[in-house]
This record gives sequence, C-alpha cells and structure tokens, in this order.
Amino acid sequence: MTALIGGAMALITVKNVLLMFVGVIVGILFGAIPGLSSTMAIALFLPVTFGLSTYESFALLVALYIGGVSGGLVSAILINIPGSAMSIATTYDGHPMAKNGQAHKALGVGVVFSFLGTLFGLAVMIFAAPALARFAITLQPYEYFALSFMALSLIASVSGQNIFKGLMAGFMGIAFSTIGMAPIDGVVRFTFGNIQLMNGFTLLPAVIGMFAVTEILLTVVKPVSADKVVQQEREHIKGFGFSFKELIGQTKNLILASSIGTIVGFLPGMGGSLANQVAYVAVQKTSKYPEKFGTGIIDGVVASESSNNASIGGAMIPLLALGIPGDGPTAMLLGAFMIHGLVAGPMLFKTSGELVYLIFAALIICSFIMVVVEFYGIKIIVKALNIPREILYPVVITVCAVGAYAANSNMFDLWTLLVFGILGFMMSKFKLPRACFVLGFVLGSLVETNLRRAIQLSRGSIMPFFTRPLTVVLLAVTFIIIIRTVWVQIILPMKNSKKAKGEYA
Amino acid sequence: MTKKIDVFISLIIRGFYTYSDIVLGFIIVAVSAGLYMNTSHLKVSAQSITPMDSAQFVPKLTFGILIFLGIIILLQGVKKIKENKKALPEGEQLIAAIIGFKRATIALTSIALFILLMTRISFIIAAILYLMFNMYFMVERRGWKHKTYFITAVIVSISLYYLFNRFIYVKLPLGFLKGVIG
Repeated sequence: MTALIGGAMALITVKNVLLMFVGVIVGILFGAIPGLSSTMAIALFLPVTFGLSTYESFALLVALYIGGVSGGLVSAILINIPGSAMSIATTYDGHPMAKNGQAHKALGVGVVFSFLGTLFGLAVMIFAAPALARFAITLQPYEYFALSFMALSLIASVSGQNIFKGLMAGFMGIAFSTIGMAPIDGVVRFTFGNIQLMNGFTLLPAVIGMFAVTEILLTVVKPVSADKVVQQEREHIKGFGFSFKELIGQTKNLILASSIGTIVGFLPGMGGSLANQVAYVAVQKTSKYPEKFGTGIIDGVVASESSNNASIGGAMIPLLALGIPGDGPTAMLLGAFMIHGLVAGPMLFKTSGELVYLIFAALIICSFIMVVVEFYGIKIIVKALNIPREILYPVVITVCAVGAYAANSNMFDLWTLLVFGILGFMMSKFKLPRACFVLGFVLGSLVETNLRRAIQLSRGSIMPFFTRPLTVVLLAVTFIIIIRTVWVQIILPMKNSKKAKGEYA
Repeated sequence: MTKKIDVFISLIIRGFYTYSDIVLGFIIVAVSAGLYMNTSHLKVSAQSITPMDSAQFVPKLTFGILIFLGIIILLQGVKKIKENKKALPEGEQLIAAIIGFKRATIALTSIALFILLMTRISFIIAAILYLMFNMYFMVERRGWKHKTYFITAVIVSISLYYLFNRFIYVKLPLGFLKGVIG
C-alpha cells in the first residue's frame, strides 16, 4: 500500500495530470468511433512518448487504454453500433434503452459500471498479480481449449426462440473463422485463390459491417418523416440517471461480470472482445428475469461494461508479471516498455518497482478521470440523438468506412465491411441471431488453435483432457450447460406442445 | 417496366415469407456439402499427429453440423408453409415491403459505389457524393434541406480526410486528386 501511495505521489504533477486528462478524452473518442480502438490510440501515441519521461509516457498510454475501452459504450448505446468488439454486448440492452427514451440512464449506467468494473480488475491485479501470474504459467492449451469451448457452448444460450437457428448462426461464424491460413501448420483454406483472404477476414471491419451497415439497411426501408418529431417530455435527469437503490441492486451482476472480465482478460489472447459477451450470457442465465434481457434493462449494460473494463486489470497481470500481453492494447504497452529500455516480466517488480506502482496508481486515477469526463460528457453526448437521422446515419457509415480502412490501409477491409453488412442484413431477415455469429467468429479460431496445440503437446493423446483437474472441471461445466440447454430449449418445449395437443384433443 | 419489376419483387417477397426457412435450409445444406467435399482436398501436413489435429478437422466438423442443422431448419420450414401462407403481406403491407426491398437495394448499391469510387475519384469526392445522395434518399422529399446537406457533406468529408491524414497517419485514397492534395 505504501508503494502504491508512493507511485501516486510520483504521478501527481501538473504535466502528468494534464497528460492523463488528454489521454482519457482522446481514448474515449477513439473508443466511441467505430473502427478506431484503444490499440490504435496507443500505437499512434507511442512515437509521442519518445519526447516524454518514462513516468509521463506510461501515464499517457494508460489513460488512452482506460478511455478507449470505456468509449465503446457511447456508439453502442446511441446508434446500436459497437465502438469496438469490446462493446458488442452493450448494444443488446443499451440501444433498446435509448430507443425507449432512456439514453441518459443507459449511458450513466455504462459509465458508472465501467468505472466499478475497472476498479475490481485493478484490485485483483494489485493484490493478486504475482500469485495469479505463477498460476498462469501452469495453464496449458488444454485449459485454454476447455475455456474457449465452454464459451462456445454459450452460443445456444443467446439463440433466442429457435435454438437451431442460433446454433446455425454460431457455426456459420466458426465456418467464417476457418477461412485463411490454418493455425499451427498454415494450410490455406477456402481462399479460392484470393491472396487477400490468406489472413482471413479482419475482425473489426466484419463486426462494424455486421452492425453498422445492417442497421442502415434496416432503417432505410422507410423514408424518415419530414414532420418535426415532437420530443417526448422527458424527466429532468439528474446525475447519472439512475438511483442508488438500482446501483446496489446490481451488486451481484457487477461481481459476476467483473470476475469473468478479469479472468478472461488475464488469459492471453482472449481479451475484452470475448469478456463482454460471455459475461452478458452468464448474467442473463443467473438472472431472475432472463426473458427481459434484450428488451432494454440495465442488467445487460452492467454485465457488458463491467466485464470489458475489468478485463483491463486482468490483461495487465500477465503483462507486468510475465511480460506476456493479455490483449491488443497491452501488446502496444509492451512496445512502450521496450522503447524505454525496460523488460516486462518478473524482474520488473525488482528493477523498476516504482514504475510498476506508478502504473497501478495511473490506472486508478485515470478511472476517476474517465468517470468525471464522461459524467459531464453525457449531457452533450445525448444531444447527438437530436441530429436528424438522415444526416446522422450516412455520416456514421462514412466514419465506419474510414475506420475499417484505417486498421490496415487496405481496400479489402472495406469490401469486408460491405459483405458482412449484407450477411448481417440477410441474417436478420432469416431471423438468425447475429450475436451467435459473432461469438462463433471470435471463438472459432481460439478453440481450433488450442485444440491442435493440446493434441500436439500430448502427442496425439486425449487423456490430458480427462486428467488435468481444471480442464475436467471446465469441460464438466460445459457438458452441464449443453445438457441443460438441450433440456430447456428442445425437450421441454416438445413435451409441453405434446401435452397441449393432448389436452386440446 | 416498373410494374414488371414490382411484380417480380412481390413474387420474391411472397416466396420469402412462405418458404424462407426452406430456402435457408437448402442454401446452408448445399453450401456446407460443397465446402465439406472441398475440405477433403486440404493438405494434411506432416506435423499432424492425429486426424483431430489436422487442418481438415474443424472445418469438416463445422460443415457436418451445418448440414445437420440445415436439414432441421428445412423440415421446420416445410411444417410452417401453411401457417406462413395465412400471414402473407397483402395490399398496403405488400406495397410497403416492395418499397422497402427497393430502398435497401439502392442503399446497398450506394455503399458499394462509394467504396468502388473511392480509389478512382478520391475519398473526399466519393464521400461528398455518397453523403449527399443518402441524405436526400433517407428523408421524404418535402423534408429536403439542400444547403444543410451540401455543407455537412463537404465539411464531414474534408474533416475526416484531414484528421485521419494529419493525426492518425492514415492516407485515404486520393484518386485523381493525387498531386493536387498531398
């Protein structure tokens, strides 16, 4: 604790505080604009840190990280387009809340629980980092496979009414993830001679296309009315737009979602893009009113935003303790360590202990800055809803197109955006849930890579899947989830319909 | 000509409403079967120890499951034909569906043209054209605001180009404006 206070004292200079403010604001902008991300923000500002001291550099980069992760909720709630893959699940309830005239409340809930989720993840990081890092070294591909397979089994839980359509969408996502070079051996699959497909479809343009372009196509079917819409009388919103009672009522969801976010963030390669979706499903399954999810309730926003922000603390653990980045932004931070002549890993605590605690303090202070900036920003952000739709939507598509291009400066990503937009539109017409597709697309390559690594490691034996304790537990939980889902969504409805037919006869 | 197009679109819409699950199931089964057979031609590298560990395993499993799911959806679709025929859109509903179909096609075409023209006539001009077209297209004719749309389109296009070029170091396509700008 003394070291943490020491780190905070070293951080509190006028220049550092200004850098953190600017970093959080820029990070939020990058997070809010579909196509841009915290990874990009950190990558862009890395050269700027050449002229700054080590402490100033990390203060700025950490601020960009925090702001970037939190910023995604803005576009997810207001226009149903996630700012990044970390905010996909925020659209499920955040946007319906905005459509119901509760945009301010949705944003307020998102901001506060982003903050609380960040603090949760940071607390775990600060107090448990060395122990968790030692545990992380023992994890092998068997555990990674079991965990990602468990996450895959949740596809059935977000299927909606027709589980077969949900599974179909999920497996379509997995099929798309197999395009390109196979993991491990690099065998080229389903490119049909197209060089651009060698690396498969890039995630961000695919997700933006599936949400942004689809949204436009669904909106444009009817011309926007030229009559001035009479604004509904809204309650005068104070503060964050929700009560203290509602805050306390979300404690269980906060702890569950933040725990999932921290764990998923802590596993290298998993990241916040997975955390928010897994946490959303987990909170839905443990809720007293799971049928209300997707209609616009704060529980959904709490689940998504707590988990994606908690993954920040999770992702920092392997970075600081082992020198292994947990996700994209931490990979950029690893670059920052190298630029400043530092080696991330176990020795970092010994050779540059003050810097480590400064980073901890910066993460905490930036979380507070994020809440303050977004609190005052909400009132301005909500005014964006007053922009006429015929102006807002085309501008959003243009920004999305630029964002999709910006990732690799490759025109192919723009065509990816269009193709996935058409796919998303067709999926909504055929009532195939896009959420399942995205889960399958994100998880498909993770599951395959870890399965193949595990088989190679065991020289072809599948016994480790049944003898390693954590793997057995995770696979058992997966099995239970599958059995329960089959029972609830297939067998019970069949029994009930037979009973109803019998009664009717 | 327009009437013939409308009749054609109404046939598609009515067919879709009646047979959507059958069509979906059929497409998934057909495509998955084709790709499943394609997977058999994938190279099995010397690194692979067992079939589970080859580049063929996950695609084969995935397409196999998709074939199974496609058949189930197809059968569900067959069961629902009568029910779907009762709920077909008629009259004004059908007209609205035809208009919606046309509008979605036009919107999609405009995005495709925007992407296509970007490298040829520059991002700035393509974006101005795209923005202006869609602003007029999205709203009823009596709500058109010419000055607002033009100014917004120009400011957004040029600002995006400048911001991304100057601060994010992303060079958006210049097309024939190369040499004129930057």
